[in-house]
Amino acid sequence: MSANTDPSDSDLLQSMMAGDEAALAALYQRRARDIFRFALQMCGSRALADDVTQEVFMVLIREGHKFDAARGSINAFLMGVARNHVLRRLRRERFYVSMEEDSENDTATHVSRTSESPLDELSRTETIESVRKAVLALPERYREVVVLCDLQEMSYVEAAEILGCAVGTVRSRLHRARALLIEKMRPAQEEEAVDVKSARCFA
Amino acid sequence: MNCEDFESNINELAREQIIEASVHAQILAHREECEACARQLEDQRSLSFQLRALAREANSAKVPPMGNELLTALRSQQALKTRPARVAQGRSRAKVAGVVAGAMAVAAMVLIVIAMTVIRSRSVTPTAQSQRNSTSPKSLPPTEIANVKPTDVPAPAPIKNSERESRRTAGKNRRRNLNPIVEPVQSIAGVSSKDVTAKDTPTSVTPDSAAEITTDFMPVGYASATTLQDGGQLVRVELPRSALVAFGLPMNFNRYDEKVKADVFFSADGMARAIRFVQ
Repeated sequence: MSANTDPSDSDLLQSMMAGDEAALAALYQRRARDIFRFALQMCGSRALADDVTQEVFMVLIREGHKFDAARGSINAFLMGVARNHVLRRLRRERFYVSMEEDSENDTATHVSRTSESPLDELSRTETIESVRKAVLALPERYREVVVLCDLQEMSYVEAAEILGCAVGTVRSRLHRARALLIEKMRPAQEEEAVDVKSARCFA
Repeated sequence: MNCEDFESNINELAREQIIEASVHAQILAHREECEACARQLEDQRSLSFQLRALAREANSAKVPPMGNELLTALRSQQALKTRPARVAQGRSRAKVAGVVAGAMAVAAMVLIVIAMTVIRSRSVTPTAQSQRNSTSPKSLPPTEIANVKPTDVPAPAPIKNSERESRRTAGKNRRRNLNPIVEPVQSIAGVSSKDVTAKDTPTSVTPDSAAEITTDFMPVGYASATTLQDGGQLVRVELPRSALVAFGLPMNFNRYDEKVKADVFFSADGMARAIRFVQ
């Protein structure tokens, strides 16, 4: 019932372009989450993801009239804008070194927040951290397909629409990206295993 | 199914995507046969598990609330949308004003050109105008020229010249096609060229000038004192009556086919420098 009464993204966009602030708020509430997650997983920085989310909606306000429903959905349009912004920011900030304070703080808060046993939670957090680092270490073209298809659980078609390439390209890039991720994570796992063995011997 | 086919479908299987049942069965069968492919599938499944954990963690991240900047941007965008109409109105008004100003400028130019043309057609040389003003034959009708007394004309300076010189000048003038040259006035031909200067321009110098009525000498073209220093020669000619109009004098149109007498003063270089009409 409520789904039928909810206005579509196109309706919200039209209302927003007519100056309806409530439509902007509704559209933001509906689409900001995906954009923020995509930006966060692509660049690994919460501050950067915040900026990108705001910039994407700024672009929508300024250039919303350029949206063509025949070429794709509004979500794809917004994600495409977000992708362009993220890549631009990543290229601009390539020469800066991350302080990694945010990630440490996030880890600490996650550990204290959960109700699991501290050891399990620490292990889980370490695993997640290693995966995150591996994803962030991927080349951009492979990282974005992993983020879209694996982390955001989009279909190949949706990812292809956002990336502006063929479905086969997405599929092959994802295959290559996953292979790279396994390669990147394997030394860490082996290292952990070696450490455990040496610890036992030492004991 | 061989290893290559297995590898091409391993992602979908590891990510738990929808696969055809027959293909799924073949993949599982190949996994049982090939240990390397089984290990690869295990790695892929492990990776999918870890990625899902990362995705879950990212889902828990708080989305930033909508900032006031977006609302401000939306309002300013709306303000910009209404502005172009006003700007367009202003532009159209300015365009109309520009067209009107241009038309007025063109009209003013046309008026100026017309006025210039009229003035030019009416005016003779400015010196002739001044001469006319000084002697006042302009205001006089043709009949009144006859009533002008010789005493009204400034006293002429005596001009003497040798007979030989006058003949030579007359011949020179004929060669220069000064048409119509009728005959040199005998008395003027005898005036000396040294006596003629620019300051005292010759007027009526003939012995029988008392019987004739003349106007003042009017300069023909540009004549400076230096060109008149060497003296000159006075030649009696007959001209069409329209020549009166050319010098700004009134003409009786009933007698347009008749000729009018005039004395032309030639400087030493043979150029006509001044003219006076004789009746």
